[in-house]
Amino acid sequence: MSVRSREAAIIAGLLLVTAVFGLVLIPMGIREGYGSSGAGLSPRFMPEIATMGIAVALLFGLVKQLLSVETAAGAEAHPDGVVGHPMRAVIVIAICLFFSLVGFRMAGFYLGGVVMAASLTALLGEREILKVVVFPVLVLIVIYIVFEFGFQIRLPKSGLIASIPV
Amino acid sequence: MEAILEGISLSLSVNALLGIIVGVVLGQVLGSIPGLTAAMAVALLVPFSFYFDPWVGIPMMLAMFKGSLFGSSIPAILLRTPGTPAAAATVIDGYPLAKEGKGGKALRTVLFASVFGDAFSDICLILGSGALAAIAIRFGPSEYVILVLFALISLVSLNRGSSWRGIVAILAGVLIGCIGLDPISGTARLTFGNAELFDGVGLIPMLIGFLAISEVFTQLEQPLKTLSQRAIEFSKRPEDNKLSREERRELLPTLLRSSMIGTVTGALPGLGSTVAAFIAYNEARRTAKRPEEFGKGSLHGIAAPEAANNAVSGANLIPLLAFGIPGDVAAALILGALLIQGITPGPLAFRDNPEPIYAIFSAMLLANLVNYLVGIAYIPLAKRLVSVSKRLLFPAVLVFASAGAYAMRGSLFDVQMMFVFGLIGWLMSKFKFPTVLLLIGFILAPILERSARQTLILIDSSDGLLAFVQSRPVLMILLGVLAVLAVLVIRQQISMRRFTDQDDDGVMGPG
Repeated sequence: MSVRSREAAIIAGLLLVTAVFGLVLIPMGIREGYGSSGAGLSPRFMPEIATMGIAVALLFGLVKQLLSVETAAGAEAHPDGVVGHPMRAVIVIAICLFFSLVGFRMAGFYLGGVVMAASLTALLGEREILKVVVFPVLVLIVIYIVFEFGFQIRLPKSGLIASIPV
Repeated sequence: MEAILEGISLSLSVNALLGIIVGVVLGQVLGSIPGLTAAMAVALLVPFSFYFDPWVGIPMMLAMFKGSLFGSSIPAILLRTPGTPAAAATVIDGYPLAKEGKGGKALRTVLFASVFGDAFSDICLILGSGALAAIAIRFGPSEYVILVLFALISLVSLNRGSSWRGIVAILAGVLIGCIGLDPISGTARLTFGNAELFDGVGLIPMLIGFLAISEVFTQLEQPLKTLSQRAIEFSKRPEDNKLSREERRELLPTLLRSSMIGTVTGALPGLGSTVAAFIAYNEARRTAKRPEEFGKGSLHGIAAPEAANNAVSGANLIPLLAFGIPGDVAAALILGALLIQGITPGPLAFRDNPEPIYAIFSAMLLANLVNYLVGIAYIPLAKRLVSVSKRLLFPAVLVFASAGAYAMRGSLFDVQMMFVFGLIGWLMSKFKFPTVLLLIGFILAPILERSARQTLILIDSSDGLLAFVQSRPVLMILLGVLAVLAVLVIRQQISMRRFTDQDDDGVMGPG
């Protein structure tokens, strides 16, 4: 796919998302109550203006893209001139979201944090087992000291461990 | 006068001094770690400032920023890895000098220039913001709408990429800023029944997500080999590791000129430190006695961009303190820290509660001195820190950021939001949307919305729009300025279309 077609497809996709947001999500997510019909009183005032503005800017971008001169298609290049690896970033994002949604709740922040940091360190190519295990433990010890002793903040503890009837 | 003395005494307390020292040390150390940008380092530390007394937390935060600006130049010089886009100009001469083994001299030049530029712009801030605030106090909601629009148009026009991408980013920020309870009617907006969103989206998860997490995700795309880097060797000769008195004296005209460039650039919303650094570098080369040395390790080539980009950091607080409007990401971060501590900057603060403002001024001046002293001690240690492997650093950053996001409200929801914003920021940078503009749109959304709706109510209750505008001379002047700016922006966009590549990244950068 050429650069121009790809850009145009992305903008069209964003326009579709904006349309769904403006026509479905705003009416669903913001109820207009009694007395909110006067000038400047509607709670939908700013979200609607912002959404319309985004749609207009995207339309402008789409027209500009369609009228622009075709440029050569190229690989997704890294600023340093090497080809990037977006898949690795996607896996890291998935791991982070998993721990924030499930891992920290189940294993607690400290145990979950060690597992998360260790798995990410291994994913990034560290093969020395000592570094993969010891470094995350050291990081979590520092966090424990700073938070629990320094700021008196209790980070989430393991629900799994707490549920064991001992 | 009493307020000034009280303000100074607040920042000179032992606790505040300790806060400044800790802030500078943390800023320099975190800023010097390759991969951690200055903004990223400070964003990670903002939540912690909340757990201190305001007069420890605020000076610490300000000091952290100053420290991180110097710190981020260390990997720029030793590893050719600028910790911030603004340090890219420093690389041009800093890295060649470091390769000759004179890394110590290059770092001392950076430190001297950074502190000089920073102190210069802080003095301009102290002299300029009070005067501007005296004018701003006469502003009503309609004038604020124009002022915010002025800032937003400037930001969009100065974003080197497509202007429509800038507009989309800003308005997306405004939309996110609308989530939560409506400020006038109290109606829940776009919360979809989630009670955690009633207070709106948290500023801290937004800042850490867009500035730190998205940057980590972006850097993780690098090949595994480049995720570990080696530091450069230092010469053992003392003269290669220090800046002599003659060299300092010779640098003074360059420093003064560059600091002025940085201060003027910083006072205007959106221009940013990268632009200032490159203008100052070109100006230094243009006026140099030996321009042929530029690019090969010239001390003037290092001092000029450093003085300019540090001068931006003080001057960009002028619109923040005078009008309550952040001009760039640094000001947005400082605004976040001030709001967390219950201080709302703006013209009313100068009239009703000036002590904190004067305390901020004196803390900033003091932080420059501490930054210099700590920097001198830190330079020999810096070469050890820059050799930390990214494959160890990034997992630690992600876990540390999770703890920071959780700490603010004790909510895992904020951690989830932080990663979601990190993901959005990463996608935005991939598709060349400037994330910094989204953050500024988010921060300005409440001011813009409240002022716009109040203005509409005022117009509704007056004899029409024309009569309303005619009754407000300041508004008429601001409207005129806005119209001139709009014309200039359109002209600039037309000429840019002829000369620049449409696919270029923004000045604000992806992050």
